[in-house]
Amino acid sequence: MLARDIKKEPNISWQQPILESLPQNIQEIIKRIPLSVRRDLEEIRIRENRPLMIYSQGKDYFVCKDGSINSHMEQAYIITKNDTRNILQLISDYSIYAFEEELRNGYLTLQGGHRVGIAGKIVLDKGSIRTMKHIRSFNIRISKEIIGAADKIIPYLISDKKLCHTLILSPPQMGKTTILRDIARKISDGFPGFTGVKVGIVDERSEIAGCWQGLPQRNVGVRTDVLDSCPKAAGIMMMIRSMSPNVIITDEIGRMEDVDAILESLNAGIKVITSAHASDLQDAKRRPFLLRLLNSHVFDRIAVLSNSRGIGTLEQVYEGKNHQPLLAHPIR
Amino acid sequence: MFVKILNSFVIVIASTLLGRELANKYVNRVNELSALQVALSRLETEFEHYASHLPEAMIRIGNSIGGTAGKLFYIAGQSLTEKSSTLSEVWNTSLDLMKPEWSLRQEDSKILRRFGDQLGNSDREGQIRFIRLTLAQLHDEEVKARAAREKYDKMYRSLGLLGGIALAIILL
Repeated sequence: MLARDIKKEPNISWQQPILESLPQNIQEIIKRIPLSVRRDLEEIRIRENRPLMIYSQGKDYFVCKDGSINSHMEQAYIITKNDTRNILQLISDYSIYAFEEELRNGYLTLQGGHRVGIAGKIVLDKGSIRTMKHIRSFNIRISKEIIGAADKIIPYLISDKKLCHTLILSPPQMGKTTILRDIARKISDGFPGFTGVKVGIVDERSEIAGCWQGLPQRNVGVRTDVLDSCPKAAGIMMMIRSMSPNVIITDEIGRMEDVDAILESLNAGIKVITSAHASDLQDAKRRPFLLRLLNSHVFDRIAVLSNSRGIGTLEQVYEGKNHQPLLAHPIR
Repeated sequence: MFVKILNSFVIVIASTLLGRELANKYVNRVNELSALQVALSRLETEFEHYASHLPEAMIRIGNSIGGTAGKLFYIAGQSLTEKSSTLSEVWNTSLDLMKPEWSLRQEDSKILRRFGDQLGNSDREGQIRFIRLTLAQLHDEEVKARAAREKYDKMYRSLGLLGGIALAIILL
């Protein structure tokens, strides 16, 4: 790419922190990927001794040394052992020893809230994962916040100027976290007809707020506190005790103890907005811990997401007590 | 006659300084080896108790201990914040930069280079084990350096002074 083309380039916000975590040679390749593809980049896949790949606009591509992309692996740039070693040093700020918890979880968070998934050899200690070594695969996931993603859902979460206890059901990759994050921002900042309230986010997988060294890298609102990388059940209790939130937001409840903590916070008079993996209400009822939550009729609203009209479609909103649908048709 | 006496003085002073310079090499090496051990112990503490990131830990240690060992850590820490090369490259470049400034010998540099190759490449336990190993090696070198200092420090100092006097007498 010529120098003058780079000058003309619009500012792509994710680029800086992602490029800084890559060695010079791969940085140069990524910078040369055609702008139309690069702007919508979702993942950069790095696997030792195999071609450099990217995932953009729902398709994956092989990347050549000159940044051109195609679907044939023959001309693709092959990742070397040196590359993976350098990437590990760069993403960990030369301090892989300081990321033991992250290695156990299989991912690190970069500045900007982007996540790097890692895979290698797991070292066990008495049957549980102690750490990971020989890390050979990286999945750099570019996270983008969509301000306004919650605009459609918000009116259904408020009744009589009060926030409703809400459960969001969605299959993976349907924009559940993006919507939760935008809900946090909106109810924390406030909007016409709604005064901002104190929000506590328990962010077990650092996805909602994308914290880097404890600092949210996403706009989660002015009245929001974040407990980063904290187990949900323990985190919800900590939040209630220490930060006096009006609303607790947490992602992907998946265990009975999470349910207990949520019921506990409801008793403490705190509103809860949370999400779970399920494709619809019927599907949710097949999961024991969700069934328990649904049967206790604690939620005022149950929202279901899908991709029937594109990612982030609000498929249906149910009234929480009697499970009556509130939407005539899906909206996006 | 006056000129001759002046010449003799100059010779004695020059030769004494030369002797002192040679002797200082031995003294400095001991000091540098012990300062490096202090720096590495500090790094061990940073790893073990604070889980600090390497660049900031190095800059902090460099600033607080000062001297040539401090400078090495400071330079390396600063270059790491630029994120442009690998850890072992940065460490080796910093060692090369410091070479004219210190009295370390090749065997000492070798220990430091080996240390740089392993730094930041393993989990906390591995890093701490490796720092301890390096500390032990540096300590061994320090013991040897002390013995050498005992032997040669006084010798070079006396040799400088006495050699100067001898030369002056011969030339008188």
